Amino acid sequence: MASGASEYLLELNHISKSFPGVKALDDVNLKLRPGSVHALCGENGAGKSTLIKIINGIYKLDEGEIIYRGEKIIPQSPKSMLEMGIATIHQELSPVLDMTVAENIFLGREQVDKLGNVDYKKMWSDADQLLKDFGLKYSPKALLGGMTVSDIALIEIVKAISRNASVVIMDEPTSSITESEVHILFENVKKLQSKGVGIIYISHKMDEIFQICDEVTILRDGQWVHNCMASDIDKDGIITKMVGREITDQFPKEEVPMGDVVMELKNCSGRKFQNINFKIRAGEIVGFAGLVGAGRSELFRAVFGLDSLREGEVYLEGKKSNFKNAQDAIDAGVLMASEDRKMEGVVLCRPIRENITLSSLKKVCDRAGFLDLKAEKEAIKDMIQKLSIKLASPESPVASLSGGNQQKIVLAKWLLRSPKVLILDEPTRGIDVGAKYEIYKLMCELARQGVAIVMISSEMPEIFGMSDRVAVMSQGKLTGELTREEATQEMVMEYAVRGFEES
Amino acid sequence: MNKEKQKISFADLYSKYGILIILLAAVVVAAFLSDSFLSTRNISNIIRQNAVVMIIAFGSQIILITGEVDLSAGSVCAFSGVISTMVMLSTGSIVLALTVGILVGVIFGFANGWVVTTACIPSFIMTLATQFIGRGMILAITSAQPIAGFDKRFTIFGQGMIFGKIPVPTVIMIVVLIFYWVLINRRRFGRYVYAVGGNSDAAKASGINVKWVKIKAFVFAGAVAGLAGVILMSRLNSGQPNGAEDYEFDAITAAIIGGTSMSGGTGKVYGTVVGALFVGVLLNIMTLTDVSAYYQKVVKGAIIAIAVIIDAQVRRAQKLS
Repeated sequence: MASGASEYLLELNHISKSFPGVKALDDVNLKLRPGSVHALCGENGAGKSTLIKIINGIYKLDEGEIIYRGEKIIPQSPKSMLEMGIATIHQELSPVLDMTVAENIFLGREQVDKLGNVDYKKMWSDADQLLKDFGLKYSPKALLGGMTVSDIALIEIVKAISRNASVVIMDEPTSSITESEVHILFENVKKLQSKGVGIIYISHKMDEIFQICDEVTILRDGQWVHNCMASDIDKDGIITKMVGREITDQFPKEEVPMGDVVMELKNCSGRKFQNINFKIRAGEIVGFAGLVGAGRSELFRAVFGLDSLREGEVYLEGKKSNFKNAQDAIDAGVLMASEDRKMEGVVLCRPIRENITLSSLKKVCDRAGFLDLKAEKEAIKDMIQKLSIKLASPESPVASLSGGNQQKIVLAKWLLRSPKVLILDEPTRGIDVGAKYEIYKLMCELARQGVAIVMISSEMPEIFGMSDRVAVMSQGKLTGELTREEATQEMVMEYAVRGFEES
Repeated sequence: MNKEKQKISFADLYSKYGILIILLAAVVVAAFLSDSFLSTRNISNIIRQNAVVMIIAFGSQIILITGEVDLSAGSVCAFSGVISTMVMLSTGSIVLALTVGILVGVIFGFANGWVVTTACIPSFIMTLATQFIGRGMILAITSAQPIAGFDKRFTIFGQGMIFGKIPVPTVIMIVVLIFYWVLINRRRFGRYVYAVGGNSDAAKASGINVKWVKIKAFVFAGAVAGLAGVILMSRLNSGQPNGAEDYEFDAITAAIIGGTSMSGGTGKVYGTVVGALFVGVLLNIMTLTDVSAYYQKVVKGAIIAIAVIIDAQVRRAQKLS
């Protein structure tokens, strides 16, 4: 049996796992060959994370077996799995910002000298070697706190790989690193592959899957749906299997007549962006493309009054409107849904009802300033219907909702304010295909009503699918604007890296 | 799976009614332990003595909901109360004495809130500082001697009766309770308090002035601590600069036992009322059964620990569901 099983490094057979009320995994199989990159695909909630957590020993499986190197194992904890040679790079990073690069890489397995003190010299030289091997130029003595999210993500990857693991699980490793760094990552994945390491690769980005993966396993609603070699399937095939239905039109874009200029930015500068001139019309959807760190979020955070605008003017319907804080912006009709909805979008522990009306409580108050709970109930009933938010009760906490529905709560909150300009920063990040489609439809409807929409997005298909106009930023500068007809992936990429050439 | 379901519903049940059940259990046990416990006189004693801590607890709770903590309440209570008796001594006006007492509390609250939000420092540290400053100042001003000899009319706040039956402090407590309940549940400000404590970044991005919400919450906490100080000194019939020692902890205990989270964003008014009553019943029964004051402290400490442990367990159980 041992010799027959050795074809695979890791085998997951008939894995099932239930939580109260839901069957998270139902008879799932995955077989990982040594030296192969195995893509794990599925919508959010399909059970990918649960499966990873079972391999890591965070959850105990109800049924099924895990065979690693020909032996049946029962995962106890992430630490013990790491010692056995299974390393995981989680989507959510866990760096210690007050420590140096080297200290982070060797966290929990610091090398010590004879006296039991940390041997920094050895740690620094070892870390330096690891970073060089990976193709990175960071100093092992640099503090992590001063680095960008992208740098930190790469260092976390180095940390996981440096364990000499024989199985590496990567959960959306490219979600926070820049394009050029993706390249470095993929080269290292190939290096690992040639050493016989098996890699489980989770990503929503189809291009990446076809670029580096050999084999694909697809999950849907906790069930194993499909497994094949990557060469035997295409992008549409994967999507169809993931959703369980054909998605003919991913982007329900409509052409709507455009109105007057609603908002204009003149020579705006601030932290991470310089000298931006930009106009947007009523009913127009402008997609903001660019690499991570291009300054797109920073620009619009400043417009919305969350960060400070150092120079320049913002005009709203011809009136100078440099908002000092979010309150002023909201009162004027400029609304922003931030990219991190858990951090800045919703109050997770409070009920859905309170979250939706949080910014428009004046509307549901009587003259004396007392809340009119009846009016509030009516208002949220409307919104829940309009956005088809799936919930048990408006009184349950927002934390009980899925990512897509949480995003809809943020949108519902803004729709109650009847926006003039709606700024959506990564509106569909981490949201499954079905909810994405509903959010796109909502954007179209708002545009038809004359709302000007700024959509900051790192997903190219979304930029091309939804925008009337594509604005590209690079290194804090607006490097190009393209109409819907002109815009191609190549042109956007060219503008997106232009800032690097100039500086 | 069925078993798990039951466990979850226990967690839900506990988070809704747990503290009420515990209070009733404590009352039953107390009634068995001491014959005099259920006497009208003892019950009205509990409620009257409880008024001071309960009023302070409303302030402690609102601060906890915003995600901060107020350790200065006891000192502010003593400071305001003693100043109030000094005003009474020099002017003879009970209205002025009451007003100044509350105002002194407001000033302390504003100072706490303003420094915490402007300098962005932990409220734990800032209010610990105010606790020392307040206590030190009032001991210095009075040379640690009680203020006495003022007009007897001042005792109305702590010892007076309405219709000869209902204690005035209880009436004041109920008025503050209603005011506080409306503030939290029927005013915009209440919603903002919860949102700021639940996620201050999201609150800010939703157009809420986080800084002012926190300052106002501190001002409210200061005002009620000041009012409680007037009631306390009135009951003691003297301005005691050493009075109200550790009251901030009794108040925070009441709020936490009542289900208010230390991490902000959650907590119900009724929970604090029941929590304060529970602490009151517990201290009362220990006194009736001659448990020494030292051991009473031990029990109080243990209760805080148990309440927080249960709270954490319930939270975890709910998260998993």
